[in-house]
Amino acid sequence: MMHHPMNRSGAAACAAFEARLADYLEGDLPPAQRAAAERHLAACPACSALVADLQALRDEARALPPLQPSRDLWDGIARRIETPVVALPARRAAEPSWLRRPWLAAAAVALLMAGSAGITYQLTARTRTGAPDAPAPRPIALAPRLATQPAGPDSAVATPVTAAAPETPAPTRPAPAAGSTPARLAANGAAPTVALEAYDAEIAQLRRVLDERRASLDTATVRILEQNLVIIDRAIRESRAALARDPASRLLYQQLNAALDTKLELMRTAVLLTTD
Amino acid sequence: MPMTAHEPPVTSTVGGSLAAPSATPETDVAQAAAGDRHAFERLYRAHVGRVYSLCARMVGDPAAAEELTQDVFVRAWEKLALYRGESAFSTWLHRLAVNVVLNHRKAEGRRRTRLDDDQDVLDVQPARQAPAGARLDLEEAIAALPPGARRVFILHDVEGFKHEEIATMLGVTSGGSKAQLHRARMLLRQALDR
Repeated sequence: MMHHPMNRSGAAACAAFEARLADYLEGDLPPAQRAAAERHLAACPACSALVADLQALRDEARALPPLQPSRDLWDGIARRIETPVVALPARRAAEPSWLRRPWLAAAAVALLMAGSAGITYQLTARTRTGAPDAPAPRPIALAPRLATQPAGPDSAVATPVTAAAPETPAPTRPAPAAGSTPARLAANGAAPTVALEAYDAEIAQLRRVLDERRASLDTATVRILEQNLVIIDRAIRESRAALARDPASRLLYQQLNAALDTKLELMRTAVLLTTD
Repeated sequence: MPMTAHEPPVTSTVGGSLAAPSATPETDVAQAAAGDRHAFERLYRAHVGRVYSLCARMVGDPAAAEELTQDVFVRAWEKLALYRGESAFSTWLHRLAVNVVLNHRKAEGRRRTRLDDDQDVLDVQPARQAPAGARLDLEEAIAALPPGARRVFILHDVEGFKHEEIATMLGVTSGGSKAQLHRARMLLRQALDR
C-alpha cells in the first residue's frame, strides 16, 4: 500500500518508519534517522497522512475545552476546611516507622487503650472503695486551653478553628503553635464541655467522611479500625464516668485527653488512607 | 459519561463577601495561604474547571471526579502554607491534582486487588466499549481508551507534561510512557475513523 521511498520494498520501508514513528513525533530521532524518516514521508502518502492525523489529534487534545462539574462543589469543600480541628500532641521525632502503618499502629493502640482502660478501672475502683494508698484528690487549676490552633501543615486536616476568632471579618488561619501541646481538657469545670464539643464535632466529621469512603479501604483495615475504635470508645466512656465521680483528678483528665487524641489520630489516619 | 464542556454552575459566596474587585491571583494565593477562605474560594472558582477536567478525564467517572476535585482543593488548603511560589500557583495546583488522582488510582487498585495496566505493559482492553458504528468525538474516544494509555495521553497531550515527568508520576519508564502515548494516539485515530 505504501510508496517505495528507498532501497527497501514499500511495506518494509513503511514498517521501518512506523517503528520509529513515536520517536519521530516526539522529536527524539537522531538527525540521520530523522532525515531518513522525512525522505520516506515525502515519498509515501499513506505514512504522511498518518503523521498528519496524529499531529492533528495532538493539537485537538491540547485545545480541548475545560469540563465543568455538574454542581457547585464549593459547599462540600467549605464544610471540610471549616471543620474545627483539635491540636494533637506532636509525634515523637524518633517514632518507629511501623507506627505509621495504620494497622500495626492500630494494634498498638488497642494494646495501649486496653491498658489505659484497665488503669482507669483500677483507679476508679480504688476511689470508690477509699483505698488508703489512693492519693487524695485535689483541685488542679489548669488554664482552660481549648484548642484554638490548627494542627501543623502536615496535619491531615489542618484547618482553622472558627470559634476561636469570631470578631475577624474573614476567617483566618492562625499561625501554628510550634511544638505546643495544649491541654485540651482542663480540670476547672467549665472548659471541658467546650473542649469536648470540639472533639465531638471533629470526630463526627471524620466519621461522616469515613462512612462515605469506607469502600475505598480494604475490609481487613476497616475491621481492625472498627475493633480499635470500640476499644478506644470504651476507654473514653470509662474515663468520662470516672471523671464524673472524681472531677478533680488530673490523671483522669490526662487519660481522657489521651484517649480522645488517640481516637482522633486513628480516624485522621484512616481518612488519609482513603485518599492516598 | 457526558464529556462535553458546558457552562459552569451558579457560583455561591461565603457570607456574601466573596467579591473582591481588587483581588489578583497573587494576592488571593497569599491571602488564602494566610487562612482567608474567601480568597481561597476565589482561587477555587478560577481553577475548578481545569482541575475537574483533569480528574474527569483521568478517572472517566463524573461522580468520582467531583469527589476528587473536592479532595484536591481540601488538600490544597492544607498545603498552601507550604507553597513557596517557585512555580505558578496553577502549576502547583495541577501537580497536586495529578497526585491526588494517581493516589486514588493506587487506592482503587489495592481495593480491587488486581493489576491495572499501569506498568510498561501495553494494555489491550478499552476502558469502555464504544458502540459499533458510532462516530465518537474526541472526549468520548479518550474515555474509551484503556486506562494506562488514557492516563499517559491525558497527561502528555492534554495537560502538557513531559515523558520524564509522567514516568516519575506513574512509576514507569520514560520509554513506557512514550509507548503508551503512541498506542493511545493510534487507538484514538482508529476510534475516530480517520
